[in-house]
Parts: sequence; structure tokens; C-alpha cells
Amino acid sequence: MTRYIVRRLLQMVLVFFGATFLLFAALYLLPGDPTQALGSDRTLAPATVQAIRARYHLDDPVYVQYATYIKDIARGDLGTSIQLRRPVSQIMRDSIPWSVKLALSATAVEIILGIGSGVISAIKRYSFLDTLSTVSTSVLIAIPVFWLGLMLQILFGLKFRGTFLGLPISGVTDGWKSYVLPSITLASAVTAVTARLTRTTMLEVMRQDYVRTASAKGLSRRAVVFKHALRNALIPVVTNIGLDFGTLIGGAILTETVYAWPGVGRQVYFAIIAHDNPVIIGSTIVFVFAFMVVNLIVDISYAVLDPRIRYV
Amino acid sequence: MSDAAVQPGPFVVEPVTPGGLDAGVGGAAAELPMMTLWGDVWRRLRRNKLAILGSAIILGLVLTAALAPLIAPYSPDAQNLSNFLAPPSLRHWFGTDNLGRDYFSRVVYGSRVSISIGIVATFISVAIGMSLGAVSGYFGGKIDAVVMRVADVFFSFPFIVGAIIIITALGPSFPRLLALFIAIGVLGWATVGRIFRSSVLQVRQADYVEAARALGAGHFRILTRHVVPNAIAPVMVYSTIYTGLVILTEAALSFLGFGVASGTPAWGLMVADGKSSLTSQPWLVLFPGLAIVLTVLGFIFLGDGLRDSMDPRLR
Repeated sequence: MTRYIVRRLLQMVLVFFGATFLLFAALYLLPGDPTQALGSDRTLAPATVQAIRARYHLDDPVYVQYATYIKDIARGDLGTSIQLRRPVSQIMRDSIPWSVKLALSATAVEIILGIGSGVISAIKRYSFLDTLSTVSTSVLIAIPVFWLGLMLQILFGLKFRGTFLGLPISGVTDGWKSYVLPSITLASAVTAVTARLTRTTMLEVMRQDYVRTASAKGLSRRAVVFKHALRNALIPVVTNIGLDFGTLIGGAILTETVYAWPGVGRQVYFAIIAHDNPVIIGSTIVFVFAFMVVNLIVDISYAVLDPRIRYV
Repeated sequence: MSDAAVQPGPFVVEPVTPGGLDAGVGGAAAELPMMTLWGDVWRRLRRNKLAILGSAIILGLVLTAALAPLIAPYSPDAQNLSNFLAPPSLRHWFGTDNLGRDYFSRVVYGSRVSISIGIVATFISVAIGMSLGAVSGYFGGKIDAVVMRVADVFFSFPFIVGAIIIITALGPSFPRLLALFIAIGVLGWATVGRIFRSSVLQVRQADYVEAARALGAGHFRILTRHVVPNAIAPVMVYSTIYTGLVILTEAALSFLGFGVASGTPAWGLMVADGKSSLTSQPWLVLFPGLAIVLTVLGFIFLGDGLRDSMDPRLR
């Protein structure tokens, strides 16, 4: 186990360097000049441009910039935003909690609706409910996230405004109510995938001998389904939900843009428009890191929870 | 990352096991001795209502894209400033936009962007993914380790953010459609690669591969004649569904302003443009969105139908 974890950590380091270097190289090729975005429509004096370029090391060759950057990261310094003139680590400290909170509430939606409808589909196979769930999961995967967001905004922000169904459609100033629409929007696709996966694994587990044995010894249907089948079917499902969490943090750029949610996704969107490389790199590093850490935790807990899995 | 947990991408639908093909064939082959493997899949596919529906949607879409000038009642760029933002009517089924252009014609022409991105970007991803996945799974060892670490790097990037960075890096003078092909095509190979690698790993150990090797076949011949044809089923299912996801990604990129050039009739861009008048002219957002949903649904239905036909156990 220890050997496995060490190997995984080493792999993570490799992936981390690969990802940051690719990112760095791509951004180095970006044609736009951040000093231009800074001056907006005015032309900055050449001396000012020179000073800014020197201050942010924009004239060094790409590998020198990369080495400098890695050294800074090791010290916990993610650089300074060119556009906002604030340390990137501070911007991240402000926006990460919002992204994590949104991802957590989306995961709650995913767990409740995804596992719920998957289990119902499996135990009532080929019923009306099963067909309904199959069709609606397909539709949920096919709906563009940004479009779903806009449609929910029309429905709950406009049509139902003033009724008890009226919900805030942007920002985070209305407490828990602000979370409802963004969480549903963000969770839509992963919920559909979880529902499908739960159905498939439940059907597979229900065919196992120990489930038949449990039925044969006279256990109630409820006990068979929930104690024997579901508990075993949940292993791959929980793994998948864990992995989705990493995706939800990085995949929130559309949801956060539509709902003006102050998370990392919206931050990176504005940074790309403004050619604000330090923020782009900083946010992407946060995404990559979140994804890798969640993966590692899921894999390790997998081994701990299921004694049949042995890692060498 | 380890093989223990094959992580799906953001939208991965349940995988098909390779070799599932053979599972359903035994019984059928007894009564229908002439039935080949793919013949059997084809027979089941024709009976699958979902697959028929999906194929019909896709066929309709391809025809719409090809025959757009015949179907669209107006030119997609013809402006009529005396009749702008008209609600849907008999003359303008989907109404008109802020420049008085017929919205139905624009939605019809929008299928061209979606279909071409769907086909070309999927082809790029599948070509890269299958080549690297085959080499990785077949040769194993160091090659496998390197390819899979590179796949991990691509996996760890959020897809949309990565695509935006590539598109901006290619620059504003680079043809936008080509930039989208490259960005989506290159980023999407990792999932295809992993799926194909794991089916190649299973097929590699089959007796007929061993037999071919004993007969003196070279690596290239074994790969192209024996391994790839037998390991391709899961990738075929995934790439059908993936085409839908590619169309979704293009729409999202165009919505964010990093897709096709403004003014082009493309669904994602039309949703973005209509967003500002969401409350007064909701149809400007509604119709292109419905077009996206219907298109992607077609690919998901066909992919699901393909999977069910190739591996009936999963139904």
C-alpha cells in the first residue's frame, strides 16, 4: 500500500510538471500582449510598457520564465495578476471556496437524484419509470450547460418571480437560495451519468449468487436490495462521484459565467479575455491539482473500502 | 494514474467490455450459421428502436446541412431592418433576429458548423487516441507508461479551459473553424486512448493473436489485421456518443466567444447573441438550444443502441 501511494505521488509530480509546462508553452505562444489589455484603448508610453514587461519578466526566454515560476510556486507564490494588480494566491483564496461550495452542493444533487433514480430504474427494470429515467438521462447529457442555465433563469427568475418558486438567478448574495439553480445546472450531466452507472451496476450485482442466496434465505426484498445489492453496487458509483468532484471544480466555467458565480471558473474566463497569464496559470494549476488530489483520495479509499482490491 | 480506477472524462457513459461481442453470438450462431460477428450486430441494431431514432435524427441533420440552401426559405445573412426581432409567425417560423434575418434559415445553416466540427474533430481524436492506445496496449512496458502519463496530463486539464487556451494561442488570424477542429480534436484523444488501450490489452492475449505470431506475422500485421478489428467495438460506441459531446463543446466555446467568428450562423453563438434579450425575445435562445439538444440526443441514442447491439448483456 505504501509503495503504491509513493508511486502514485511520483506520478502526480510528473503529471503536474507536464501540465504546467504545456500550459506555459501554450500561453507563451499567445499573440496578445498583456500590456495592451492593461492600457485598454489608450496606447501606453513605450517606457511604461518596458517597465511593466521587466517587472513581470515578460522578456525572458520561456524556459527561464518557467523555471522562475516553478521556484515561486514552491514558495507558495503564484505571481501577481496583471489586470487586477493583486497576488494570484489571494485571488485564488477568495474564489476557491466558492467553487468548492458549488461543487459540493452539485455533488449532493448528483448523489440524491443520480443514485435514487438509478436504483429505481434497476429494481423496476423496463417499467415506465425506467424508460422515463433512460430518456431523461439522455436528454440531460444532451442539454448544453449554458443553455440549461439560461432556461432555468427564464423560468425561475422571470416566470415564477414573486411566487414561492422564484429564485435568485445570479450572484451569491441570497444565502442558500443562490445555490439552487447553479447547483442543478452544474450537476445536470454528472447526475445523468451517475444514474446510468448506478442502474448498470445494480443490475449486474442483482445477478450475483449472493443476492440470490439472500433472497432464498427469505430476506425481504427491501433488505436484499439495500443491504446486499446496493452496498456492493455503490463501490464503482462512489468512485465515479468522487472523480466527478474534480471535474465539477474545473468544469464550472460555464455555470459560473452564466450565474455570475465568483468562483475560479469565472476568474479564469475573465483572465483569458484580458490575457492575464498569471491568473490563467494559477487557476489552471488549481484545477489540475484538485483533479489529481481527488483522484488519489478516491483510489486509496477504494483500496481501503474494498478488501478485494490489492495494490502493489 | 493507476489502472485500478479508469477515470471517465466529464461525460463518459458506461463503457462496453470488449469481447462482449462474442458473448451474444454463440446462441445466434447455432441457428444462423452464416451470420458473421458484424452481421449479428447489424441485425440487432436494426431492431433497436433507440438506434433507429438516433440514426434518423443524424441522417436528417446531415441532409439539412447538405441541402441548407434548398431548405432555408431565406438567405441566412439577408437583413431586413424594417422587420427585426419579429416573434415566430407563419412567414418567419422562428421569428427574426436583431438585424431582421430569418431565424429559421440561420438555425438551418447552423447545422453545417455543428456537423463539420462533429465529424472532423471526432475523427482527429479517434485517430490519435486509437493509434496511441493501440501502441500503448500492444507493446506495454515503457511505451505504455509514457503514453499513459501523457494521457493523464491531458485528462487533468479542464476540457473547455484547455480548448480556449489552444484557440487563443493559434491567434485571431488563424481560421476559426480549423482552430476548433484542432483544439477539440487534440484535447479529446485521451479518453479514446484509454478505452482502446484496455480493449487491446484484453485482445492481445487471445489465442488467435498468439497463432498469428507463431505463423510469423509482424507487429504491424498483427495489430492491423487481428488486434484492432477485434478491439474496436467499445471505441465505436464511445466515438458515436463523443461526436455529440464534441458538438456540445463547440457550442459552449462559441457561446463563450472563442468559437466561430461572430456573425456566422452557429447555434452556440446564436444563443450567446440572443442572451441579451432573453426576457423580451426568448425564442432567440430557445430554438438554437433545442437544435443542439436534438442533435446531441441523436448521437447519444445511436451510441446507446450500438452498445446494446454489441453487448446485449448490458441492456
